[in-house]
Amino acid sequence: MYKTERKQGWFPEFTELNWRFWSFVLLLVMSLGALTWFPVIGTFEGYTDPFYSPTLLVIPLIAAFRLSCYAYRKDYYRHVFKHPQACAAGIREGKNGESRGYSGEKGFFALNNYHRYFLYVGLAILPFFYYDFAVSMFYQPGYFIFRLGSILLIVNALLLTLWTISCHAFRHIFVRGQLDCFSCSLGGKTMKKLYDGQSFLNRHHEEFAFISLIIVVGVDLYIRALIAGLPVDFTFLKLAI
Amino acid sequence: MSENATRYRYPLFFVGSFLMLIMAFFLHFGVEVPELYVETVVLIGFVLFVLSMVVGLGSKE
Repeated sequence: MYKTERKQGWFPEFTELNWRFWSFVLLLVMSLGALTWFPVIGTFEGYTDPFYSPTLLVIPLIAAFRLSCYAYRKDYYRHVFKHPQACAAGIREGKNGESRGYSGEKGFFALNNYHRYFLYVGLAILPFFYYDFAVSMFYQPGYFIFRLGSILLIVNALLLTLWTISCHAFRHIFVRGQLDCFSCSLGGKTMKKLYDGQSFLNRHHEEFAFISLIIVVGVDLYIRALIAGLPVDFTFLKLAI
Repeated sequence: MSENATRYRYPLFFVGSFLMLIMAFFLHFGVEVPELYVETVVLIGFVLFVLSMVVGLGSKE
């Protein structure tokens, strides 16, 4: 039987020089190190850390929601694994020109199919960010206080909401994205309007994904700066109620 | 993983994540629950969650 020269490892990125992949690994190690090194913040002066909302217990679920997101998938397939590099590009070749084939959502990456289920978890958690925003304004009994941190919390909540509702799985499940014909179904016109609205958001899903991630980290750093005593907070309004 | 096992991946995921979420909600709202109880339930939830991932690897969908 003829045998090819192909050397197809399960995960060739580990054995070849690929600065994108290794910089990603470095970033991951540094992030995990930072999470381990710095103590977790719960709440501080009415501000609840977004990583702590509702609690750290659900972090694995949220991490899985992020990692299986279509926007992140696109980026890690294309820029980290370089496999495939684009939709229309040919499959990646190895050092000796051997074909690797496309593994897609097979093998380990079959887990990406859980994304629609992680979406339910994401939706369950969203109201807590708005609750935390409310708490940040009413944390002192008898007072309504509006501060810079509250604005950051609501921006964070809105961006997370936009990221969640612009999700491809959200379109499939909640705005009848699975239909082939809207006019053939009951309430099709209304649903088509919702579908179009969601599709508009969906076109910006990648932006929402990354901006919301940066804001979450930013709010965490902001609260850490407050704890460290840096004068970064500003009170816009304080009313006795 | 056989197809017989993979059919349980979503029930395992839902039960596991529900257990983790319900304890997270209790803690967030300051409901007084014994610490050992929280840890046990979360651990069971997490094991079911991981199990659902492992079982899901055999899926052909």
